[in-house]
Amino acid sequence: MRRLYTILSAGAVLGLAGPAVAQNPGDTPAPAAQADPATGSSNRARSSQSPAGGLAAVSGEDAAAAPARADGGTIPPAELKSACERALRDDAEWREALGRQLTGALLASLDQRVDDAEPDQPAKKRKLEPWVEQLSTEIERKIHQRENRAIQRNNNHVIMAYAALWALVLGFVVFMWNRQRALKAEIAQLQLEVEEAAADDE
Amino acid sequence: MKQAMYFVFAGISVLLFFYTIDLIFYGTPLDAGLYFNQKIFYYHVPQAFVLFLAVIVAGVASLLYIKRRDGRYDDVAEAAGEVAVLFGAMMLVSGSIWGKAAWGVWWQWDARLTTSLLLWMLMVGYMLVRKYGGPSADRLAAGLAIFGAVNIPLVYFSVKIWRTLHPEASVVPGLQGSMRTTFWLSVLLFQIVFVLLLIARVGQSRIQRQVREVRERALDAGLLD
Repeated sequence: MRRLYTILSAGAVLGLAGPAVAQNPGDTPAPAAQADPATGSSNRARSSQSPAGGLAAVSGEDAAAAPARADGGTIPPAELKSACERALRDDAEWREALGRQLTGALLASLDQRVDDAEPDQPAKKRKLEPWVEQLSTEIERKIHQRENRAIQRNNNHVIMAYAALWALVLGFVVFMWNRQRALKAEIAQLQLEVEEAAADDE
Repeated sequence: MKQAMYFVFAGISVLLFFYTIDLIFYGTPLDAGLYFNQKIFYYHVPQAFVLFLAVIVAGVASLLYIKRRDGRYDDVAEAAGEVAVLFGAMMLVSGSIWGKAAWGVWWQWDARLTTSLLLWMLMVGYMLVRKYGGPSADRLAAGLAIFGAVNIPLVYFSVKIWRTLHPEASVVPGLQGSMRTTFWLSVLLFQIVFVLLLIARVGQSRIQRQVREVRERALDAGLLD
């Protein structure tokens, strides 16, 4: 909740909370620069121009600088919070615009931080690298899984083919073996018959 | 000496069998399109080669038998015909299993498959005629074997003549590296096995024929009833 408040406070500082705050009777919009809530691009552009400021707003560094009333008094945090919550709940368009602007500011600040850390490489490229690596690893894993499935599926066919092959060879060898035995038996029978015939002649 | 050589070659074929199995499953890469079931290729195609060789041997021996009327040629033809039936069956079964893996069907009336089946059936017919054909069946069977040998170019070129599902004959010349070595070693293995089976089977046929001739002579001489 504290984080939400911080973000919304930052939104107010950036001038986006104006219309929502003004919904409260007796309140006047905060004197802040008006951004076009319909397009994130202008906000992003502005944030890009001043990324450090954007980050500060989001992270709550400027949250202490609470918006002021028209009469010079500061808006109490509780009132500001409830106003923001109401606005977030009731004004979908504003909520969307705020989201876009905060995202833009966040991205710009990230870019800037990366650029500050390693100024020799394009920030986006470096930022994409881990994602690309993760994605390629994931794709590679999927391909391996698919190939493995294909291999597993085809395993049965290969085993079947080799088993059939050697079963046929074995069958043929057994067939030849039996024939050899039959042949030996036939030769023995012939020998016996010849011997008997020879004995009869004698 | 002949027997010793026979066992030496039998030993070589056993060693070659284990070596080719090792090469097929561990020494060759997976085919990009057919994955693991391409491993059937290393035995399927050599079986087809042996079928062709066996039918050619049966055909040539039958032709010589018809010309010279020497029983020894008939023994070779009979043995080769039987081995052709064996290798034809192996080729058809392994091809059918491969077809199931690659095309999703056990059989297609494709030109190569159909002509191969007809060749195999012709050789089965050759064996049946020899067994049940009665007197002078050997010459009728010899005619069938010659017809089978003449039929081989039709089987071989069927993939070129007709549009077929079966891969073309250019697959073998296109093999590279370990795939080529493994394939030709498998061919060598099957050729040795063919020669060994043929020698063993010819020996049986020869003894069978000699026993038959001795019995006939003994009957003619009145030695046997």
